[in-house]
Amino acid sequence: MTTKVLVVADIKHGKLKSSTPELLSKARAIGAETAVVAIGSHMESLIPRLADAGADTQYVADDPGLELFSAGPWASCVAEAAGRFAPDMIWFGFSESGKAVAPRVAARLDAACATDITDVKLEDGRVEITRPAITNKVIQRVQVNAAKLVAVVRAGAFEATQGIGGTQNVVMLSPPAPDAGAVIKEIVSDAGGEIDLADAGIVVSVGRGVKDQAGVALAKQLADDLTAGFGSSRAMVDAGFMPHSKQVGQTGKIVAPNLYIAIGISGAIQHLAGMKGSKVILAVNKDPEAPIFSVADYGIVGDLFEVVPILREEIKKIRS
Amino acid sequence: MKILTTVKTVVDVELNIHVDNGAIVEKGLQYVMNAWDESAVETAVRLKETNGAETTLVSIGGGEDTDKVIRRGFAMGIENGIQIDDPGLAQGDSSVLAKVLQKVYEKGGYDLVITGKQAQDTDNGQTGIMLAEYLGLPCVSNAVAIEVIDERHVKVSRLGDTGTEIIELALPAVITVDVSINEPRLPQMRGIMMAKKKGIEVMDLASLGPSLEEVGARTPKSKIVEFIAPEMRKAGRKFEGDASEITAQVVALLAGDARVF
Amino acid sequence: MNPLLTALLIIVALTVFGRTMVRKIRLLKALQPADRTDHLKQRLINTLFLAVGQKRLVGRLKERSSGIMHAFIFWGFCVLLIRSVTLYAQGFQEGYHLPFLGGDTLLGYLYTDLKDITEGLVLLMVVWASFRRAVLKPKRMPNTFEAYLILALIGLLMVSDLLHDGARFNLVQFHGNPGGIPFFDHPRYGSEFLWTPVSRGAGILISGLSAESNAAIRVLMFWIHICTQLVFLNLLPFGKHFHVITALPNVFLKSVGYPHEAPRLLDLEDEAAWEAESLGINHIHQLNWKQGLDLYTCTECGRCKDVCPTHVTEKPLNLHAFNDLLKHELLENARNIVARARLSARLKQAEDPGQIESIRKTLFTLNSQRRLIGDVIAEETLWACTTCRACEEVCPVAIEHVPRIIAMRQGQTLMAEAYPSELNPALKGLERNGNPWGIGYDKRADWAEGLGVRTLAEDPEVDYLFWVGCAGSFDDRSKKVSRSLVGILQNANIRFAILGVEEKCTGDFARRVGNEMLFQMMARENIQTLNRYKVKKIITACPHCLNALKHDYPQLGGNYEVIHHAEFIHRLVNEGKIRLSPSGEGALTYHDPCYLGRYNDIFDQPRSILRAVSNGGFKELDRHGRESFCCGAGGGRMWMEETIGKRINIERAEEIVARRVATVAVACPFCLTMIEDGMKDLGREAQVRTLDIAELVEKNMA
Repeated sequence: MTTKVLVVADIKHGKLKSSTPELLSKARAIGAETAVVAIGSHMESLIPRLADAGADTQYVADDPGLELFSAGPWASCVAEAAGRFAPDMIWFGFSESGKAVAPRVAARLDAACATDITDVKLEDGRVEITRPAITNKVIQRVQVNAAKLVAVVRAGAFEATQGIGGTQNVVMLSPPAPDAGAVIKEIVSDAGGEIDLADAGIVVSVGRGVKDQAGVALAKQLADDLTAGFGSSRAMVDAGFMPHSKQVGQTGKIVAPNLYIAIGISGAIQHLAGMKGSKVILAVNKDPEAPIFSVADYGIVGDLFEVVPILREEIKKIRS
Repeated sequence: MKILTTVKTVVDVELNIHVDNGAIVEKGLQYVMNAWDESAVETAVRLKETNGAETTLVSIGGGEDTDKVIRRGFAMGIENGIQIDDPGLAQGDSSVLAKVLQKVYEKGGYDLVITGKQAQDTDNGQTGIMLAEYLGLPCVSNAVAIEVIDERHVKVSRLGDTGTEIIELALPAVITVDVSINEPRLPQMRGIMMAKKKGIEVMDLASLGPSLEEVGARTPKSKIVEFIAPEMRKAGRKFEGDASEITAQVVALLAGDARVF
Repeated sequence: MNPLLTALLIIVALTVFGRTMVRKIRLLKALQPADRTDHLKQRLINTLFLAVGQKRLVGRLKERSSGIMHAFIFWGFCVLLIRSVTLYAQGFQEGYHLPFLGGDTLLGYLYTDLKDITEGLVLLMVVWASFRRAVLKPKRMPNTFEAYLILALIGLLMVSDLLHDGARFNLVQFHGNPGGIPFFDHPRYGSEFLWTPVSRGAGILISGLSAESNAAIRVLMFWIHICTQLVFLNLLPFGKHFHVITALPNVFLKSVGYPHEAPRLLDLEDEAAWEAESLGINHIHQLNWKQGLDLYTCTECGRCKDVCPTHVTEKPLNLHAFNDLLKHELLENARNIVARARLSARLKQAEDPGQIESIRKTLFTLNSQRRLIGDVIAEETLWACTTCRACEEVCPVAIEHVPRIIAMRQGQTLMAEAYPSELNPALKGLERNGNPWGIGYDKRADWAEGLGVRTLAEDPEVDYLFWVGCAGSFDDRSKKVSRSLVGILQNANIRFAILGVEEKCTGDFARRVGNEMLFQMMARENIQTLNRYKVKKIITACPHCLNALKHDYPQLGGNYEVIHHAEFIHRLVNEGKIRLSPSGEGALTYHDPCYLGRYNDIFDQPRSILRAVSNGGFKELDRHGRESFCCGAGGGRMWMEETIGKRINIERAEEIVARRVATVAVACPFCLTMIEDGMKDLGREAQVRTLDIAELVEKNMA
């Protein structure tokens, strides 16, 4: 029996995020039949993209009541799609919404639930997943015994297959009842269009070495050049220069981008815990003995106020 | 207002975790209150101080470590403590724990459940949300601020994908909190001394009510096959010298060898 | 002169004075107990040098001239004491003199001469003091009405006696002594007045007046002198000049042996203490009598302010004001404190619970209305102190400022639960992983990887334990010092081991911020480990660890011989186990750590080592040795931010830079961090390198 995988589309500001095609590609790669469920409002322009992303059935819940995220109604939509598609696995991309909805769906469907998975395999008809635990200090190989699995996939864990494509087969879902118990009043948005640290391909992070707001701005320019996520060590958050939501580290966000650029970060153990999963690490620090150099693939020992502008120049040159 | 806080005893993540033969090496490990639950306890205690709420703490687990963790909660200001000590629950996943907590909740009749959003050993972030599902209660996860509106409503701010979501929550409800919600207080001498003498209501699962089957402990939904040590990152190349030269060099390497640009 | 009047004056004055003193002493007795009966010989020596010898005034290079000025006034008073007794006696019997000091002995003449010169000198000093106060206005000196009043009274005493004798001279010399005034006239030694030039000078000033006038002046000046003195005596207990009476006892009773007597070990399980809120100092009545005496004795000289690193950098810690505020609080509550002492004694005897309850209630009402920390002393004042002891080093009357501050911090931490929350991460780290950074305890020995260092668990039969400390184990910069010291010890073939992951923070900073609970916890755990391994000798590179292990641990059952690495290296060099060769590294200076120097008297060994390794010469900093300037990290301040005034480490770094040296040597991981950071902040880290002694020695070992 072919495995069936239902992917929950990750939509932000009306756009499909990269996790959706990535998850669908992986599902195809393990030989599963794929479907996607997309939830929101004003979905018309998005629907054609869903098939292209790699889904053969597209379950869509399009309702003005779904304009603002609310975990309850979202879970209902996913459950309804699951009821119709009868998947073996339901995958969410790594987002706050995904993390809020997945356990609800798992509870309703009495499914196994796994967060932050980095790999999934089918072994003798059984699903086996791999995921980190104990704040990234250890990796678990887990065998799923339950009939169904609901999983939240780590950002960037899977690769999207180019031009994957799928069959257009749209099924409209009935709009769910709003959650009377948790009424969303408003959303105070981050500085518009901020790139999510969790799924950014490149992250630029600042540490105490940047000293002050001017230093932060300098590093932010580099981040903007690269359309990178902008993160921070705990020191800069504690000092009030960066919000907690930008903190990369043990008690902040754990990120694993393709490129992590650490500017003026010394490399305390708690910070390293948050970023050492990155593919490539570039560090800029004045102190040649800074611990960050023990994990950085490329380390530039120098004054960041000198180096960052040069970095921007060189990157511009390379790109043109 | 009656508040139930759940607290997990977990390995201290400041320590190195060693893996031997697919299993975690227990020697030398110490166990502490889950950092997210510390914030949950702090949230509950602050609500006690400002709104006169009655606070109860529940922890599933046995041994000296769990006892210490519960008493730490007392020292921080929690009034009542419940411990569910049953070896059959030792391997229980989030859904099992949530079902046990469901029974604890139903026994006590609370207005608000506050838990940490995730545990630092499993990194799952599921138990609190599943508990809300089983209880059929509204739930907000990843809360960074809570404000009491009246007896039946609280205003919760949560960190969402597009910004901070402001949600009006009707009680009874479940809230899971992030560490950024507050700075948990350090237990002080007086609290610690009082906590030593306070009684904890200890129960095994049977005394609580359900059987191991009912909470799903006999039929685990998944099984950890092995633990693997993550690959140690090694130091790469360090460049010192003239800033323009070495930066250009590095960028060339990043574009060439590493192909990140 | 007039026996009746003299007697009356003396009786009245002494009665009033006696009553005042009884009240003052009763207040002290009503305070908490303290034991100061140990080391009697040392106490006498201290009193001789500090009090009588005015060592801290005359012996100190800085402000020596004003020190000499005061010394002369003090010595003058001592000399003139005899004179005063004689004068009172003369009120009863003209021409009285003490045995052996009469006109028939050389001693009598010598004393008369001494007395005369002294009076002149004292008068001169008083004039200079007034000039200094009014015109030069040294910063540390608060100018009060009382100060000028006292100077005026002393001046008056001198002037009146001089004029008295001046008048006598005139009457004898120019008017044929009509009243038959007694005076010395010895065949060999001559007339008394030959020996008293100053009085003669005074006499010449009024020689133009008639005999009757001079006679009148003689009598008048006599009564003015007596009355002024008796009034002066009675004024003394009411102001800063109480020190005239209390300074000698205060010096005699100060802690001996070690800077402070060991703080009373708080029994944190003592329920009664919790109820009485007597853990630490929370209320003014919880001071002990010696601390009360300290308050009486403050001379308001302000020398403490001049050397206090927090005061100098404009933070709100003004020790003289601290003393003054406490003193006023003490005196305002005097009646209640005395009543409370009586009631407490009764409480001990009481058996009937109803009576106990009512006494307790009454005791509560006797508490001061003002909160000690908050109303009397500001919170930021209490926490600004780095416990460096510079204040105690220069205080001429040996006031013990630091133990009082720590006891008040204990009260705040344990009872009021009010302490800077900035300390929480460090305290939590200590509790959980045995170090203020909160880094996993299992990494404590990582610094030693690859160095061939054994742990005590592996090799219990070594001669020395190298106590690494938290900084030496976890702080990247200080780990280098640990490695250097290992290199030195191995080179000298010393058999040593480390505790590795069994070592925990000594708890020094916890004790200094008043957290006795955490300190006792760390200490007991460490002592258990050390005793289990039967450790006898410990070498450490951190003066705070040194101090805690050596002086704080004995009261909890830990008795070890603790040696600082500078001492040990010095020993090794002397024994020929290592040889130092100097290298041309440019001029070198040394920053004395507070906890090594002022707390543990180690000044010479580091210098001897540094001189041996430096080709470029050794220069002293201006504020060095006993008067070294704190780096700012002590007293728990390492874990707090400095938000007011100038940063202490910058102040010190600037001083070092101005000395034009290539290297500053330190012997403490806190100093290393603070001074190196200071150099970085000033942009001077390339110019002036900050190195630990161990690093310098390792580089220069043959």
